[in-house]
Amino acid sequence: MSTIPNEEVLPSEPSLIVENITKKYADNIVLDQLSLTINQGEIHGILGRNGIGKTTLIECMVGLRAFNEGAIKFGELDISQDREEIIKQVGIQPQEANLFPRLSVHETMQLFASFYGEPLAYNDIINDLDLESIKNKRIKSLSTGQKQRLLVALSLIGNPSFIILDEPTTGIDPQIRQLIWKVLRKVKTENYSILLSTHSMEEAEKICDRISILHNRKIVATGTPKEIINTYRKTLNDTLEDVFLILTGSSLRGEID
Amino acid sequence: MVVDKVALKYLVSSGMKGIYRDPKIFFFSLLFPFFFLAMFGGMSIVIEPSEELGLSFIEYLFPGILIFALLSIGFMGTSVPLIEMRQKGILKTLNTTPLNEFTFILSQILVRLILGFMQILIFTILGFFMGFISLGNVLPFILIGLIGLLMILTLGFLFGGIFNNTEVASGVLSFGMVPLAMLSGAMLPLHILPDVFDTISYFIPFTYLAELFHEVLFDLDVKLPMFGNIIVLLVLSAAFFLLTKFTFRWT
Repeated sequence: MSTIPNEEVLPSEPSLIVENITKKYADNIVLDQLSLTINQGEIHGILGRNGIGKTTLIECMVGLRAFNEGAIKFGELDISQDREEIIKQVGIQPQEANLFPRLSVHETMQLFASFYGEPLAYNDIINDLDLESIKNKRIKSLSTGQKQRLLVALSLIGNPSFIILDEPTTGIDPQIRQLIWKVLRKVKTENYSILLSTHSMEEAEKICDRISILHNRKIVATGTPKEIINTYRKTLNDTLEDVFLILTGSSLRGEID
Repeated sequence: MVVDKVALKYLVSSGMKGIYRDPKIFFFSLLFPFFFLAMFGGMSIVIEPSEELGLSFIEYLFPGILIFALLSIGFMGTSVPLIEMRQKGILKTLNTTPLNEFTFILSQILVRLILGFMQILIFTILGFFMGFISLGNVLPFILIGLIGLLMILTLGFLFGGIFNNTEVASGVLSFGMVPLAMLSGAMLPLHILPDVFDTISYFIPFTYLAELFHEVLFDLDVKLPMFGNIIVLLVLSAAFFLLTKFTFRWT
């Protein structure tokens, strides 16, 4: 893995440290001795192709899946021993999450708020994510974009210090994507740390302070989008997408070229 | 096993909303048994009363239909929705929050207890006006119903943890409900069957519930004294609940 130091972004203390984790499904190694550090108050993007293991990595981080080797620590707390405590401080938006279909948006927010000791005022979150007009709508009749906004809202409701979002803007229209980005930027200013899994280069460039590229079971590069472009580009005009293709060495690059 | 009271309150309220807003669960859990009652009531007009038991056909079947109704809540209204929640990833989403397993299971049992209690009350009123339940038997009938319901719900949760998909669960459970209800003596007097079925009935949890109802309502000869049956049902409920702790999975 190549880590590019950046004095402007890096000095804050780490809020999540992934140390050499290995995850296997039977004999298939999905994550191999993978390490990653997320700093306090940053939006950190995990970039990778579909099916590369981003969701597995996230699920290991929050204890939804056991891993075979290594350690994952949120500050001093270890996910293998202190999940109960960690989960109170981490807001999670799982990929393709489902909710009770016959509850309304408002009832769902109320229900999830009841799981936390000191939840945020959900009316503020409803306003921020423009959910006011649909707050009485049942979950089963929400569109993809509406559901994604609600899931992001639910990840914030427990007033977490760390937020993990698994492809929050996949399959939604640009207006809603912009709205979610706006909320994430606002949340970041309140010193939350945000881990964002995405395969959108635009998303990574526009809102992430740093990104890590997951490929071949490991993180192959970490740094600010600009640093990664500057370090790995082959021509002056190369974009993050070009660099991503260089690093992940996919056959798709050949097709595009 | 710590209960989060605030979460419990909202989960129970959400669960109730989920049930009365779901026509399928509402129908199978609350209305369906009354079709049985009407059907067997109609048959009772043409079937001769049993001289040996001194009961009409519908009178004997009445507690059996309640057991069947409670089984519908326990299996179709508990096991199947639980599996569905797991299949659809709803349980996984809940597992990303601090909600603990015990609070969740308790909330789901409470929701079904409320639903089952309503069912028992309706049956009590019907039974009273049909002359099957005397005034003195109203309270014992309700209490026996609740003890039986608790056992059936814990069993429903246990099955909800064991089965992996709703199709298999609904198939197996709906296929198993009728023969189990019959072999427990709830729908059919066991003495009219070969002796082997009497032995089998000891291994069916609902037998002890049917026995309690028969003893209280009709003073029929039963295998165990009343408290023996109550203890068996409570021990089974505790055992099923403990096993649920091992079989319950969020994902």
